[in-house]
Amino acid sequence: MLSKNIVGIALLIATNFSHYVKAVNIDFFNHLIEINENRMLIDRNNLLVTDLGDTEIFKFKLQYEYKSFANDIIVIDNYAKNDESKRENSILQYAYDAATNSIDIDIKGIESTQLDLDIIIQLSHTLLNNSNQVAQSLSEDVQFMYFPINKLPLTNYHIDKFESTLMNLVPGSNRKLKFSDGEETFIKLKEDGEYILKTAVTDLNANFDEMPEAINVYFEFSTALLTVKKIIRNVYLSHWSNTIHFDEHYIIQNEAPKLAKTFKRKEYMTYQSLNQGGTGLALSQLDVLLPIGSFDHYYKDDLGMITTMKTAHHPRTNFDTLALKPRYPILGSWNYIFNIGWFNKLEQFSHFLESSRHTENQEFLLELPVVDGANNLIYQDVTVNVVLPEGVKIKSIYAPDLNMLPGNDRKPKIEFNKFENLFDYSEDKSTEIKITYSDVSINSNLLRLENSDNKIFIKYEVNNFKVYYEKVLRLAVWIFVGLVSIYLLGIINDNLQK
Amino acid sequence: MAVAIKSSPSKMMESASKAPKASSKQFFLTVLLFLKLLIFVCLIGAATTSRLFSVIRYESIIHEFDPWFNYRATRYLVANGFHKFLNWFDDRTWYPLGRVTGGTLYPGLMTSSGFIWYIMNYILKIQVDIRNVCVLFAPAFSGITAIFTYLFTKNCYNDDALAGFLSAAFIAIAPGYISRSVAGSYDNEAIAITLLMSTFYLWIKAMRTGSIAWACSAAISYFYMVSAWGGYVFITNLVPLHVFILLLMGRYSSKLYSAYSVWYTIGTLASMQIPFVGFLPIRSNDHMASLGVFGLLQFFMFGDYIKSKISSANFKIFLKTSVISLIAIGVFGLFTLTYFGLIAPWTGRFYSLWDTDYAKVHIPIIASVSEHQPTAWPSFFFDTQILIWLFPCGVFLLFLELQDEHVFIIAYSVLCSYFAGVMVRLMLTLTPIICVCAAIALSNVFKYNLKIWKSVKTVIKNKTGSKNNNAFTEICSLIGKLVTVLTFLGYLILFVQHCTWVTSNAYSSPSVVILSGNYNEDGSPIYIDDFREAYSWLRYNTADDAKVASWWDYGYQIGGMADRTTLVDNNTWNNTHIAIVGKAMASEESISYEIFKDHDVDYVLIVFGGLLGYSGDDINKFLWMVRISEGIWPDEINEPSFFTSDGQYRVDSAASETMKNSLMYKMSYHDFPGLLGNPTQTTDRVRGATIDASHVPDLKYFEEVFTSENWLVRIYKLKDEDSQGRDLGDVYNLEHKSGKKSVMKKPKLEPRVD
Repeated sequence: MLSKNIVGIALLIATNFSHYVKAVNIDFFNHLIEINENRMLIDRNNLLVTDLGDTEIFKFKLQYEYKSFANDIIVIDNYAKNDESKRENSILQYAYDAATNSIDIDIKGIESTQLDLDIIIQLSHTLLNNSNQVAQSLSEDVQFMYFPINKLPLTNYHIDKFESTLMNLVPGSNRKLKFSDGEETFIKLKEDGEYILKTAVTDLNANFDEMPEAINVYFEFSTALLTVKKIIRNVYLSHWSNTIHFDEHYIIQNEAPKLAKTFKRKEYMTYQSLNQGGTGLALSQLDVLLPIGSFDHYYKDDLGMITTMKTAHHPRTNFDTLALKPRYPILGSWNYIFNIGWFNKLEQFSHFLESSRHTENQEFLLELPVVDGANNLIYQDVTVNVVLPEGVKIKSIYAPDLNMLPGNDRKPKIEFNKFENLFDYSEDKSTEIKITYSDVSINSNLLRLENSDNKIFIKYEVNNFKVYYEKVLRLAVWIFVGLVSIYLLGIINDNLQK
Repeated sequence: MAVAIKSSPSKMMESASKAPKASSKQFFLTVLLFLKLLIFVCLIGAATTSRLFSVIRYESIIHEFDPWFNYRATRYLVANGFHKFLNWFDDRTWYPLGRVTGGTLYPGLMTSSGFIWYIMNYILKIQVDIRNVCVLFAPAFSGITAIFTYLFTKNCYNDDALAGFLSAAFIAIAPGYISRSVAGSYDNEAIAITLLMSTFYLWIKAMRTGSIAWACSAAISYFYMVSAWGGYVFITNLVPLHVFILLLMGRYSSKLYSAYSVWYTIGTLASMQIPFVGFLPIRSNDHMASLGVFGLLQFFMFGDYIKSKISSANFKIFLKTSVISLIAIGVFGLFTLTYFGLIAPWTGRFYSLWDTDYAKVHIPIIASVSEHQPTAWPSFFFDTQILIWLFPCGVFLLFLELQDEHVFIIAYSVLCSYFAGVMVRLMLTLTPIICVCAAIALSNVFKYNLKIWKSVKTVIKNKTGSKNNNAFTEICSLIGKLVTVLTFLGYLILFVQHCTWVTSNAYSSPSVVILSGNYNEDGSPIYIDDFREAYSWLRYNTADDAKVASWWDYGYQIGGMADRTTLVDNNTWNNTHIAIVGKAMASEESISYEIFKDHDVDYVLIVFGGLLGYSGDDINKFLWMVRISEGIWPDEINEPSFFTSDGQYRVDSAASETMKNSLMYKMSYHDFPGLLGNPTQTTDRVRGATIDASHVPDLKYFEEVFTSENWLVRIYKLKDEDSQGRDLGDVYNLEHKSGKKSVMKKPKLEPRVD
């Protein structure tokens, strides 16, 4: 507490002093918040910073609590980005300062006295709240979500000019925004959902220790709010059949408003007939995307198979889909728990490393998406178990950091277990790799972006004798010993009878 | 060797000529053994695969009601180990009483499948889910049943292997046995019939040989049977009955004595180790016959000894005196001990075996079970087809010879024929003996008629010898034999066809899932999966400790699939508790609410088939709820009040007021009128009744929380008590009749008088 106060006083003195001496100044601060599908908020900050002098750390005050609401932050030096020779250094490193809820951007190597920074923050869906916690009936199928926004930005430095824009990009809605203060702070700029500050803020002093006034921004989001409380993805590499088996266990909750009364089938049937079979905020179907060429699909829960599953292939997107209809419509606050599984050819995921062709043991690289999953899901807890064939040796593992934030405890955790396989009597058991992402907020739509860093890589070594022949030989020897024993016992029995 | 050659050259010649004969005999025996093995493999294959229709048509799923409890218990055993399983007190059933589950079940089924699961997973390292072990348990054991049936028939009937094979083939595919042993039918009967046949086989073996080893084996098999099924009492009585008849026929022998004495003592002591059985073998009337025969045998043995020591005249006196005093002491002892409660009287199920109306009058809960109803005559043909005609022929053939073991089959046949006629579920125990007797009859048919080479030879010989009359007779005989054989082969083909059809269409439905008869665009069938829909809703969207009240039929399914606490289930051990639920269902809403509140109930689940046309729904079972509760509270529940004035059970406008105001009626038809086009009326497809909105009173104390897609399962929640302490009915009236001027009772204001 004391240290926090000291740091605060020091910064206050430093910023006041900056009026009299040449200190760091933000000439222009352009702030944009994008509201995207699947409850995804992107906070884009463009800052033109001058008078850096010999400053080594640029402190950027975050508008929202880092630990609770920041999923991912990236800082880009636009000068370096536009300069061919410096492009590879355009991503700037930063550290989180918990005392001031700021990020300390490392600008040590930058020779220029001014900076053009892009600070892009992917905000967690937990920032969004539902304006209606309860729906009076099924026909209340329009849902509004909101998030708070400061009227003035929090800053550690003086700002000459500040502008802010809000963009509603949610498909299917009318892209309108509403504000808790009417439209006093923000006004509509275009019909496509763009709102700007009514008047630009100029000459704003450092205010990092103040509690700025906030307003709520409302937008329509009338679909089921699906949050995957837990997903366990088991991946089995076959010993013999050259296939890879995926088995996924989902625990999903629809976070749409809960019905004030109870679910009445007749009311639901009436709603459906009035809305051409629509189910409003209830989930009636989930389309899961699968790798192309998948086969032997199944869909079940703790009670057995769920028979309402359809598979389809989409040549354009080069994906298969599994259309899953839940046993019952998943209304607000209801849970949807199920398992799906399928097989693919192993070569789609495991690649032979040419460099090992002439070595004794062959090497392979397994390339797996963390999850295939469906669109419009938020994953909160992901566990991926990869079971390699008996006898293989792991050389290296890479698991992507899906929340690339420094200093947080949400990094993937990698563990190794022993997995007993069919007729597995060897001491050298199959290896199970367990990769866990706990207490996270992973947006499934981001995972599906082309070239996004969402793949697990496992390099493993195969000893042909161990993997393919040892077990067979062992079993064959046992069977042979068994038969010989029976024969010998027969002879002994005959001799005794004589 | 050299000496031998010198001394007996003739023997050398003889042994040289015998050598090829011996080797050909050896070859013949090897081929025979191979063929036998091949037949067994085919039989096991047929028995197992014919029971897999349910898995192919539906999925690997546990069927019906009781198997869900067995499956749940097996999962508990596998997760917690044997000792915890035996001491398992289940507080999630029979709330708030709970059930000493470990001490009130037959653990044989669960321990067997748990053992198989353990062996597969930990010894053989074949990773298999316990559910799949449970689902495939019955088909696997049916193969073993076929083998024991073969051994039993062969041992009972003159070592006739043909009869043995035929009986094994019959039992492998007979619908009467398949009905309780298809994949997913994870019930005690799945293992019990195997053990029934093994015990009978070992008993016959013990009786024939007098071997203590065989008698011990029979006792161990009996112990296994006791651990697996309450129907062990059938063995407990049939074996003594066999011995008793043999004694009456004057066929006492030391073999019989040693076999029975060893079987009874070891078997009884072993059976008492099962917690659920405990001291029943010495305290229950059901077991007294075996004890009595054991005593009688001792008397016979003693008499045999005395006979060798005294003159025949004295022996006659001794015999008369002893028999009279023995009977007198026995009868007096039995009555006295029963009177003082030292011997438990016969159970209701026992009485209902002799008096088919007994249960209906005295124990409606027994009569309410569909499988306790008397068997309809077509069921005998449906379950055994041609075998039912061959069965008496087999029994007749056994009467002709009447050896000791034949007596056993006859006693079994007569006893079980009666019982199967009284109770439809006992078709199961009758089926094996039908198969055995039919096989004996058919074996004789084939044995006689397949001897055609002799006739052919005679025909050829007579033709060359121009003895035309004899040739004609032989030809007629030959044709007769061929026609007979071909006819019976045709019957057998029809039998196989019938069994396959019955198994596929009648006995392979899990009843949890129903085929709708419609198909998707891709040709896959559309299923009606309402039960699982509702159970999964309960499982995933209600509090873990929620209590669900339903009629007892669904108790095991709710426990197994929804994993929620139930008030009553298919164990039916407490008639009063079941009557409480029955009373709540049959009473007016306010009374039902009080009853359920007193029992901490959160949800009430009912099954309603009116929309779908599912006839096994709760409205059709409703009168049993009324009768059972009437048995306990005759002043409050009165069956005739649920009928119309002319004695009809109606649900439409003519229904009685008591019926309309009952909770079951309200819950079944809540929101039902106006569902299909007509705004105020809908037709109940099961009862063909038009339900008008004006006939269905509103629910005031309960609210609908879930109804499955086809309205098959409906779940209601008890409303929370009013925060101001008002009656929920009054609150409802106040809220829904706001147009009318509500009369609020104002507190009386009087001048204070000090």
